[in-house]
Amino acid sequence: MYISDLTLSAFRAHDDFKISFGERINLITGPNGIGKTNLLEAIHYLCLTKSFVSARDATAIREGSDEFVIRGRFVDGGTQSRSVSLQYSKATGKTLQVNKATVERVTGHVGLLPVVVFSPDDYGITAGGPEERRRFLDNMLCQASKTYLADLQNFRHALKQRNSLLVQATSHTATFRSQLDAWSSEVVRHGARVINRRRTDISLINSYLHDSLEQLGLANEVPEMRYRSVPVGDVDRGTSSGGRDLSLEEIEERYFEALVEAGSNDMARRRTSVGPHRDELELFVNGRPLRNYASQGQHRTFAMALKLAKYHYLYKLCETKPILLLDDAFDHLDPERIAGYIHLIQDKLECQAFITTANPGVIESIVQWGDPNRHFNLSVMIGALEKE
Amino acid sequence: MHKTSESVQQLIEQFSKLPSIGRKTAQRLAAFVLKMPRNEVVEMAEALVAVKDRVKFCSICHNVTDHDPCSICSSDRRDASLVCVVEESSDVMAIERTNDFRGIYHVLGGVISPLDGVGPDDLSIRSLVARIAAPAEGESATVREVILAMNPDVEGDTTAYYLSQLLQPFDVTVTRIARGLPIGGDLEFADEATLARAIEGRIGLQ
Repeated sequence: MYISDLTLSAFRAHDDFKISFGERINLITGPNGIGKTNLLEAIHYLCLTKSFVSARDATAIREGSDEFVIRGRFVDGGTQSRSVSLQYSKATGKTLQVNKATVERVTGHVGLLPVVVFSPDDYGITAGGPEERRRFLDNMLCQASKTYLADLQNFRHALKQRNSLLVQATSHTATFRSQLDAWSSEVVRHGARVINRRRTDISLINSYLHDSLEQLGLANEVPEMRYRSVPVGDVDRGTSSGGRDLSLEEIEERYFEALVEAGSNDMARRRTSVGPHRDELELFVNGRPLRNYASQGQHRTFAMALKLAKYHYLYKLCETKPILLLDDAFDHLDPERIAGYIHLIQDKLECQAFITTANPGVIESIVQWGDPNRHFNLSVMIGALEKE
Repeated sequence: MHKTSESVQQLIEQFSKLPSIGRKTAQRLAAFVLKMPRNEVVEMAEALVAVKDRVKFCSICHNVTDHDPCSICSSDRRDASLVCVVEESSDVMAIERTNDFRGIYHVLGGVISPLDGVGPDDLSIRSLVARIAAPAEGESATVREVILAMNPDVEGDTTAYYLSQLLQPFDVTVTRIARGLPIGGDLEFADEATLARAIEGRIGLQ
């Protein structure tokens, strides 16, 4: 799948902007602040109805306007095309239209246009805290599975209610305890499904992570992601279940027990302390925890490998090639590495990719420009627009 | 706009207070009222005032009613051993439209939701337990089954769980309404969560 045209109005730096892309590599250059990242952000909006830059949609409205509109045309399999438009207005919020029909349930759109973002922040996935890794995992699972998305949303909602009850409690009466029990059961019902899906997909992601490192020329590094969820223990190694796989019912049981066990602690801290929102996803290379020993360069390489694994995973589960958005992703790399990545995208993945960079030298010299690859110099394009 | 009648303007404003009525719809409704015969307008106005003056809540099931106890609770053709627990009075109307349910109701007046500051004491839960523990005056049979018909969302399911635990000590069957696909609906257009649950809750045909 690829995006052929993009139109922006009152979106960030762009007042009224139209651009047609190539089917493969699209290099976007220009000075800082001209709006290179904005183009990638707009594509991300069309794919997932949200930004990867900021959580607040209102900040993306161009100063002096009340709404922004992003329109794009997506082509799949060479013939089928889908026009997607996303409008955000301060007054009425977000409106998503696919082929001119308004989409009522935005969640139904997620995963139809899979996308993977590469950015310098990816460093945080391997070097940062567990929250970043959970977000990474949730993003790919949500794009791959609408039931996971629904389960995760319900889990978060039930968790919010349970925490709200814990905050409000003035005394721990019998009524309060049975209410807490009821919320525990609801948290477990959705949370256990989240844990179950994370557990089952981790092995698939691991095999893609292995392939990705190989594609990056690091075949002798053996990576492994280990998923650790307090309610079920180190299930990936089968330590707590004696090597046996747990059923959804067993996970539910264990999670409920864990919540009961943590009860007095939760009541004292007024927060739910166990569950998918506290799960850990640990990265090991050749059996050693990556977080403790890896150099900066290794962190970057593994973050890249993780994003590549995400690409392969989404390609497999969504059955369409995801779009790659590389936002200044190469800026800390040496020319040899950059060339390696470009060749990988061009010759192995053969998907549509958008690359922004302030130092385009290496990429300019190794890609053959002209369809399906295009090179956009934004300052030239916008200068031409202004002259009109 | 001030060239038009003051009364028409006022009517438009009143209509726009109603849910899902915008300015344009309010104008259309006002124009329609202008053309209605006077007696019909009086009927409508009286009906509006009557709901505030005459409507009470049934002391047994908490449904809206003109007479206490309500016509469902006081009917001898209803099976008083079967109690269907719902969130709101509008849910009673929905189930009554099926013409299939022969039991009686209990209206909670909402669902448990700490985020909205609603706890069990804010709902008519105590009176439900009392009904099951001992039948109220005018209720003949002991309750045999309680159907929990709250909405299938996070709050509805939690309230159902809470009630099921609360009713455990009593000699009564507690059931939850089934979830699945709408009859006559198109599989293709069902939302993913409903479809997934429907597949999970599949039933054998032999």
